[in-house]
Amino acid sequence: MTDTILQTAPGKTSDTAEIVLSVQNLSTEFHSKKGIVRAVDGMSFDLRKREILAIVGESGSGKSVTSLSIMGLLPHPAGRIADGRVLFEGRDLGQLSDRDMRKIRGTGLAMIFQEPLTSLNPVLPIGRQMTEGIMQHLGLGLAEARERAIEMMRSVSIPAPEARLKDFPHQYSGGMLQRIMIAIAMSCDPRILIADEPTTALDVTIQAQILDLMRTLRDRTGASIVLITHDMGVVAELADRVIVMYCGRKVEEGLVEKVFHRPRHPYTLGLLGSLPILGQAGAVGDTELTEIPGVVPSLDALPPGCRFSERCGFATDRCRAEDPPFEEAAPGHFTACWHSDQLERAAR
Amino acid sequence: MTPMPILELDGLVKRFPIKSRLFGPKQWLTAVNGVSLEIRAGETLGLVGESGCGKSTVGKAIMKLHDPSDGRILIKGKDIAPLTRAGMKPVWRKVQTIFQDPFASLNPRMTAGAIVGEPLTIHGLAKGAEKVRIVSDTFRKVGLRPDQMDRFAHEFSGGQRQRLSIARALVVGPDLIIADEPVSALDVSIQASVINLLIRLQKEMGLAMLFISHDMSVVEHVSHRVAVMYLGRLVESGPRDQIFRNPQHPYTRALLSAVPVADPSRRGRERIVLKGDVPSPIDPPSGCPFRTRCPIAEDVCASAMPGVTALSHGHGFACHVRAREVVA
Repeated sequence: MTDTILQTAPGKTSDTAEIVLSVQNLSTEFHSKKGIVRAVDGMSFDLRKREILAIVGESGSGKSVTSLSIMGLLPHPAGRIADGRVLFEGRDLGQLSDRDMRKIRGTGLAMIFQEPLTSLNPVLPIGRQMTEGIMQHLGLGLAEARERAIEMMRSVSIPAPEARLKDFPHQYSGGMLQRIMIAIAMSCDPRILIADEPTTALDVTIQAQILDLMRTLRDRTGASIVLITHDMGVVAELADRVIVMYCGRKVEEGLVEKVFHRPRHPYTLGLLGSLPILGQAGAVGDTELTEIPGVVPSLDALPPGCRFSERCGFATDRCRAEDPPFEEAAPGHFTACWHSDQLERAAR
Repeated sequence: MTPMPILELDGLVKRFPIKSRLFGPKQWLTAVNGVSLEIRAGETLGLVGESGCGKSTVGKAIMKLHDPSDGRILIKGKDIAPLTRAGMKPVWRKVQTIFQDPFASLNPRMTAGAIVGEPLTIHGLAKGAEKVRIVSDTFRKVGLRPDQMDRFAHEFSGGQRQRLSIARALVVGPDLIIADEPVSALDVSIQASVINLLIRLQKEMGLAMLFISHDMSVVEHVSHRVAVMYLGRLVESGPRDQIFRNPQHPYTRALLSAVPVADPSRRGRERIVLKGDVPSPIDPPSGCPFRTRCPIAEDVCASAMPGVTALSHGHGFACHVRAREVVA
């Protein structure tokens, strides 16, 4: 197995040394009844150590497919990576054997899914499911693994963990199971945690607990987190940097403060305007929420030019003909829009 | 004089029997435990709470999809709790529901026009050309085109399907709409247009609306008054601005502070993160249902259920500790 260039490349600055995950020009395709559709199209991003990067988008934007592609968990044989590569600490994950990839999952990359009930085995006690990965990845014996599992359960505030190891998933509440999923994902001290809608199925008070927990884990272990979500509120609460996806592509990327306070893509602007913000409501019916007209186009019937042009209030003939490049509009703030400079007036 | 409320709940209770061990005592799950509220014409009441708090059961009890175990349900002053199915038919014309999932709540084998027109036939309100006219008017009202009447539900997007549900509810000219999480299944960009539509129609038609939701930001945007539920009970209710700007109950405060706000500059605000999970409604805590997670609970909270402390403007809450602080 060849380790890739990055690791051995000369002249690397300390800046690039901090990058723990680099997704380069990733394209992922699915076979469907209508032929091949490209769910992710030329996606690139770098994740730095200790960074929380959010990838936000609506259904069909490709955000979850991006995370499955990174983890090597695409449904087989329907989905495949058509182009690009994923470098984890400089190693090309696509070049690794299944065995090496298994080693990386756990201690290197760990993932939390949206539905804890469907990700856990219903007929195995929680303790077995926790110790299994710990023994496998950390090479511990059963007694030590059990200690580690209890310690992890305590760190995610499961009461009386010793007694609950023998319980089955259905004996836990939804919030507890999601905390268990996080405990399992974090139990081998992964350098990167990929969390796909980790709080979507949960109540808001439990969601606040989980967000706190993820923040604490980053602060304590120095792990990096990729947070996949549709919820702009969750992004604003937790992430350092955000990527907005639309129809399989990045449309905007930058620091959270910049993107929220000065969005440079009409889609981001529309998403933010469509949300009622707590504490800012006027009299009922006085202010309308911004509507984004139309619907997300189907991936097999994308419009020519900019993929958002059909729904965009700023669109001109150029937008309907030419695909805008993804460019730096301000230092560290990128967007793919021909008219990003015009958004200034519209920004709140 | 204030007009009679369209809907009045007086001590509504709904208990479900649950399977228990052979020869064991019969167990009950109390989903709704003594809820009283009222809604007037032209008013939206937001009913909020987390999953399992009983908010949807309240909605279903009003529709009599569940028979209430105790309490009264008054529609324009008439108690519908004892009514039979036949007796309910005229009530169902006046009370209509919009459900969460527009994919599951529309018949896939009927055309959009037939779905929206069906209530007119059921209630014997219109037929023939008259029915077509009313249905196409209603289509326009909810932002659909009358030429879409021949299509089937699956040909519509999620947002359009929810418009169909709204059209079906409005076509019979109801007084009260029960909207149970009407936008929760929709993508953010679609949510906004459905929320705008509901507010506009509610205002234009002077409807009373019970807006059931877990989303505090949406509830603040649509509601005139708000009621907060926890474990089957109302813990606080009142005018929207009182609930959102001057919350009294520790649960309301925690709920509000836990809402993720899409504004990074508010990230540093003080937050109350509750510990633990909601207790089981099969075996609720003694006294105040919130005391097991409450940051300010005292001994008295375990022994007695707090009564309602009334403030001005119909703002009330149920908390021993806060009641003392407010009075002092």
